[in-house]
Amino acid sequence: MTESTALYDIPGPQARRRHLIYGLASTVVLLAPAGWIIHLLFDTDQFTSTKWMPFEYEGIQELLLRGLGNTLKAFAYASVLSLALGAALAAGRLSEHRVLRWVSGLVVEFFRAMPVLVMIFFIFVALKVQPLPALVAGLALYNGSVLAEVFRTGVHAVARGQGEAAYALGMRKTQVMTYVLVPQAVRAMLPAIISQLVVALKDTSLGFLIT
Amino acid sequence: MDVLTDNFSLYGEGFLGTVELTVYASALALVLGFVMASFRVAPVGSFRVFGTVWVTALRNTPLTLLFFAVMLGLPRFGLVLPFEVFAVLALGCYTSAFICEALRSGINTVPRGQGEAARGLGMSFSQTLSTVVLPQAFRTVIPPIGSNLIALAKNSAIAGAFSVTELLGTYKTLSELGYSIVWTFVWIAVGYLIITLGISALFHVMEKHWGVAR
Repeated sequence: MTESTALYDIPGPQARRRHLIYGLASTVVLLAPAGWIIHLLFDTDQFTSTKWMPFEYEGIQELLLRGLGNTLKAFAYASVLSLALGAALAAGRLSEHRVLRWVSGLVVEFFRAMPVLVMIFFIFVALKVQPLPALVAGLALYNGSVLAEVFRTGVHAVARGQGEAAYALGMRKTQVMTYVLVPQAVRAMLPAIISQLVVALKDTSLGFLIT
Repeated sequence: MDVLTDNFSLYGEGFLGTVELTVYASALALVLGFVMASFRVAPVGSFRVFGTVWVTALRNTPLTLLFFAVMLGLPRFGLVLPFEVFAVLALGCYTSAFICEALRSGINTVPRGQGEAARGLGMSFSQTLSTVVLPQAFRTVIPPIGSNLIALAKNSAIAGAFSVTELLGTYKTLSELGYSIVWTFVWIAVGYLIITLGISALFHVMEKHWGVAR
């Protein structure tokens, strides 16, 4: 807790005793609702063996595993597609052609401002596709647009001299991008990319709403 | 165009529903996020543990699952509330975890000397936090809190699937009435754009007013 010690002194013996009392009191206050919930769970017979029996059936176990498999499948498709889409849109936004920049900027801003669920519903209802492709397409469009912004800020964050040096060596635009800027940008942006993929994984649960 | 003009009241109802959900859930999320952030930096260990558990549990649960837990779980305990209240609870608690983390990272950007000077003046922990550190932290966290609230507005679409009146839910009625699905969705999209762009404009103004000059 080194970063927060600026907020309070390292407690002395008296403060430690006080903190212990606070700690015990707050633990009681915070655990009381938890205990009450557990009491209610017992009260409503949630822990009787009959309520947990179904999980012993092979059919239900299989169902749960199949659900897990489908979640992972949707996540795999959605993440690969959104990474590809993100790369394409970021390339578009960084392009030297104004039209391309504008179009990809418009696409990114639109899909970032839309709820994922609206897109999934639109694809599912209006285009009449199967639930899985609808879910994957909706997630890919949304997360691809967010990732495009992540990639773009990453490329902008690479020190200017890197690109200039690469041009001075005689590399072309594409080479500067793929050999110099993108590898450094991806490394810097890896935490943001991973947390966006986690968002995609969590959002696969929206698939339930369209089945 | 007919879709909008013929069903203006339906769209308006849905739009207002989404706005209402967003406003109430934002208020809840801001209050809870503030409380949790102060818990997470508190000197008393049990508060820190509680804040960490709260954030970790809520941030890593899909919002759909949280909605199910709230809408189906709480009535089992005899807690029967209108669906709107349940939706506000789920959305607010979910977003509070993100607000808490944004606030905490803002607290970390305040120079250490500020807290040390406040303590040197003899201020207690709550005084240091509320009069010195948080006002400065608030200025740096305006943009991330704005994007969290925009995410909240977009997430409120999930509430539509749990029979709460909101914008996305209008499509069901309209497609039953036989209107063109594409245009129905165009106007829903416009509604969401108005809300999200509105929030982002509001936070832009706030950042201009209070943000840290860089």
